[in-house]
Amino acid sequence: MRKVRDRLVLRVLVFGAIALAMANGVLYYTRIDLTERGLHTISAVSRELLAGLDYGVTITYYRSSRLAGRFAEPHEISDVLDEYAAVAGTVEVRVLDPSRLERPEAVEALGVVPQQLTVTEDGERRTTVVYSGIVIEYLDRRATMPFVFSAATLEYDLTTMIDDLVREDRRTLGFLVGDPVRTIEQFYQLVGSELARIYEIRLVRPGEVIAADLDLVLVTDAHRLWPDEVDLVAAYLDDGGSVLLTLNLVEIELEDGMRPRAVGRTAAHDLAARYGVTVGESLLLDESHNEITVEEIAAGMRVPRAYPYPHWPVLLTRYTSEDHPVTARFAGLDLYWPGWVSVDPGLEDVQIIAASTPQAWLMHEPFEISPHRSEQFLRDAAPTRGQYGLVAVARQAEGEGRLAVVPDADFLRDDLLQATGSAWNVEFAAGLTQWLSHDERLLEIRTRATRVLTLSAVADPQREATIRFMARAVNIVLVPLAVLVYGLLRLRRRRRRSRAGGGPHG
Amino acid sequence: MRGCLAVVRKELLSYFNSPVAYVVIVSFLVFTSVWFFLIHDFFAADIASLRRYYGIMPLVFVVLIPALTMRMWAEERTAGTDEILLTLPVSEMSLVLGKYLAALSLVLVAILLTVFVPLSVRQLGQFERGEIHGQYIGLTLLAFAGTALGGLFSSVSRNQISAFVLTALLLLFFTLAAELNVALQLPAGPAAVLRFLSFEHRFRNLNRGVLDTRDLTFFAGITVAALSLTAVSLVARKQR
Repeated sequence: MRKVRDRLVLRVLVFGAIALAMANGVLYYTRIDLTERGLHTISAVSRELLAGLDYGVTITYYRSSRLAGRFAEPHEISDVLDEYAAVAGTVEVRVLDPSRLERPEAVEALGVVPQQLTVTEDGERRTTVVYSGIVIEYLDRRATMPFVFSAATLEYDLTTMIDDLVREDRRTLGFLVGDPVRTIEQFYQLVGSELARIYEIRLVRPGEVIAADLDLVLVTDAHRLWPDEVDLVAAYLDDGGSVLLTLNLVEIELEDGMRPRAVGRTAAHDLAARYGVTVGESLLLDESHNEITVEEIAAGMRVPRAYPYPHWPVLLTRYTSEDHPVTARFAGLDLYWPGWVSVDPGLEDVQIIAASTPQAWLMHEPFEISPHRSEQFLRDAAPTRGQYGLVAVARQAEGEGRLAVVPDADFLRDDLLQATGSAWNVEFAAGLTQWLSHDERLLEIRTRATRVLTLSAVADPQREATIRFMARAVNIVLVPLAVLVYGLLRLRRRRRRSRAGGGPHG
Repeated sequence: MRGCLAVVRKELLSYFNSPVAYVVIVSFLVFTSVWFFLIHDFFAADIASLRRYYGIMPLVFVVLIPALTMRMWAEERTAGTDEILLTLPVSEMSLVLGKYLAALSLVLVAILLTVFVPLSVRQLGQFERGEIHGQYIGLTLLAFAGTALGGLFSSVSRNQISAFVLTALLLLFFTLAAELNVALQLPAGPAAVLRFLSFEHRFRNLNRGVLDTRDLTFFAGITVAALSLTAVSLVARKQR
């Protein structure tokens, strides 16, 4: 009887200890980042910024418990915020459920945006309002992330916002569209929204003097600017400003049967040349390219059909500069009817940071771009086959202006980005602007999560195909076959032994 | 301890002398590789990450682990050898641990054979090694907890089939708890409990290379609790 009682006590103690250990583990925990690049650890850049703060920062995460109970993402966001609090004594993190506040709607006045969520409670389906927004306060200044539901770029967003609050001003970017027909709203909304997260955007009209206090200017469709308008951009550059210049060699009217119109050499081309970047006067076509989808009439109906299209090169990681902060963690870049650039090899501060594949070629005038006449695409290929520069950057003395040249004014156009699913173009442009505005440190946080994710480490296509074939063969056939053969041999040996021994255990 | 090791040795021999273990391991390897290379089409996805490969493992374990653990105790009961086993001069905990370690070794062998996947594709891209380490730690923890639960259900089941079904159902519940949560749109309280219990939710951290001590404690707690309950069920049977 006593033995039974002792066992019962022991069981109670064991389960009590397990429950206590689990509860303790929930209350006191630590997280270890196993990744080599510390992708899930607060970076040195953020740590230094937080350590250098004169006053405390309060980060309040308004998170509805209904949301936190159902999804993992709000917890991941809290984990990142906890890391902020852990690495710097100057950061106080609070997690509040707006529904428990006296006036839940007061959080909306702080800029937190409500979202609708359908829930079933007491057997009834109803729509409820949930919040997941972050408010950062520093002295009497405040910044808000209206709705956050991913921790993927949270560190970058938080650190940039804290940096802006501490500096008391936001970086400013001038947006100059050279083509009078194009507007940011109609053509460049995607890049505009992304850049608005980093900069205060000021519209600069062609012919307007560019204010020296702008951190940088993005000049799209620079080939459409008149020489006196380009002079104003040059003056801004000469005064130490930084410029991202995108310009075309041909203009394509998509609505007009894709007819190309050669632009010729413009004042913008001359401006780039002054900084050691020569923009070639031929179109570049590449073996690495996207497809173009065109509508065709078949049986009286409009049917979309995709064609391989070397006029739309896809840039590969292996042909980008590993040493430059913009391309060190290159995620991707797709171009549309680009020209090409070369740099003066005698200039140390001018370099190509992204190039075509070595199998690219040029097309001289008259340009042929119709996917229905693809036989014409290789017209000038034989004498021009080779590798060409596609993005060039130039820097002046330390702390002075910088210039980036992309020989394609369409690479940020909303309709083309959507047609080829090339969101990384926006990322690339944002990275370029951060380098231009001397924000390499923030650029480091921005790109560390976007390390090279593509399977493009093997340059030789034949070797790559062999590796792929071997990977499939090894894992689908060879390893399972080896296990099977081992098992069969073992079972056969055992059967032989048992036959020789006259029994199953012999 | 010596008793425990003797049980491990005997059980391992018994596993490797049975065709079931080979069939299960081969099916596991073929299914996961076909899914990853042909159905998910890893090469067409063109992403240097194995998260999708290891991410499906918690669901695959719902079948793999019960298939390897169903015979642990249920077979002894069907064959009538359980009573002899319980009269051996070995403590219940040694018996439980011995059988558990043998079954766990088998699951770990299956996991170990998946290393050919990262090894065969590593030249193609910059795979994050820390992430892969996390994925293997995660799979090991899942194996620890799943095998312990499989042993528990095998000890309370009358035969191998019911042990398989019960374990598979329980593992399915643990794996999909967080998904159930979203599908059923439960109130916050029960939803938080389901998320706490979700194996998939716990594995997600490790699958991206983050080792959280809360996840370690959770898997350790489930493992120790399941092993203790198995020992309790043996003692109860012995007393009957």
